[in-house]
Amino acid sequence: MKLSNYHVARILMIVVIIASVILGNMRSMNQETQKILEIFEVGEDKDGLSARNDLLDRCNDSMNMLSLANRYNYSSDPVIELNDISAEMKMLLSQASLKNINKLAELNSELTNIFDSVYSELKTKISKETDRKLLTGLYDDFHSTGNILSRSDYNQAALEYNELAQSFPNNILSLFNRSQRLTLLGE
Amino acid sequence: MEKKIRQEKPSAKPYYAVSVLWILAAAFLPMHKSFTYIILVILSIALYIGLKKVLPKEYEEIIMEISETGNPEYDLMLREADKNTNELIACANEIQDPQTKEGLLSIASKSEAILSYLTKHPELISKYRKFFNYYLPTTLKLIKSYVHYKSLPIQEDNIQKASKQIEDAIPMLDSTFSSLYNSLFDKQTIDVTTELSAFENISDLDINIKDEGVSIYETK
Repeated sequence: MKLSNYHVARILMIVVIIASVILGNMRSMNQETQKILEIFEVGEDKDGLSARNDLLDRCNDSMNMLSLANRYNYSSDPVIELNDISAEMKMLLSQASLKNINKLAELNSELTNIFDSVYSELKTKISKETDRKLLTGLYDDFHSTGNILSRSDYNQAALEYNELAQSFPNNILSLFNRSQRLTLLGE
Repeated sequence: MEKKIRQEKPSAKPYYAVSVLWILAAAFLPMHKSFTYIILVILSIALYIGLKKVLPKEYEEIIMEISETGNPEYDLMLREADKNTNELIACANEIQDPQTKEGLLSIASKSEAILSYLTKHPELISKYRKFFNYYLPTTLKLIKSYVHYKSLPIQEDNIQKASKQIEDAIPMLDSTFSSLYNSLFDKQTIDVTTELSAFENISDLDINIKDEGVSIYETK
């Protein structure tokens, strides 16, 4: 193969352009993914007001709700489920990735439903006023964190990322860069 | 006939320059934005055209099969005859005897002259088919046999006799090639003779008229 031959050079150029488009797009999309993960982990302003911490707060509220349930020796399927989901969410929160974020969004929705269900049942069992106040406080905190999540920087960034992934040339090159649609967090 | 032709060759450098541009873009530019691709395509075209204009032109020598006569059959005949003539020269160079060698080189030079003339006047080729199909190949065949006989380690009587016969035939072969060469100009020489004769006659007539003080045109 003679490199000075313009036929060879032309073929090489085409190969290089195709490879550059694929690899360059992969690199660029990876950078975007890293940005999303960073926003998820530490927030857009890197001040700790992040979706990860909000999810962690919701897990903690769930765990506190479970402690309250234990205090009244209350155990049911939703309580066990709440425990399992919270534990799984905490585990996923320690390893941030786009795939884990989508799974976390899914678990977060389940958590909301089960939390509400446990709250409704526990409300009827609690006799002490302080515990009742604690339960109401946990409920309010849990849902306000859910509202904050809905309006989080992460959700805004995820919307932009989804739009970007569906636009040209990323929609064509999605086969190579393995970009995936991000699920929004919140209630 | 084969001819070496110097042809302009497109340079490979602009293609490599465009390749480097895309590699750099893949490493540093936001390749997830369509705008980047628009810029890159414009830059690639500009770089390619710019380099094509700036870089010195490159040339390559290519061997092309070209038709000398416009007739493929004649081309083939000329090519074959050219090859035979070259073989004749090669055989002549192998021969030790100076007289025989000289005779053969003389035949070869006449053959070359005939071929050169016929290449320029292909309309005459059909009249010289015998030269292409008989005289030249037969001469070559005889000379090849002669070279072969001379190379044999043992020179028996019959071998020597055959070699001698060929040696003796060389002046006759040379004369035949000379005749063939001269015949190319027969028509031309006849034309010259006719024209000279006509010139002479007219000139004589003119002189006679002047001597008598009367001009043919004047009398009319």
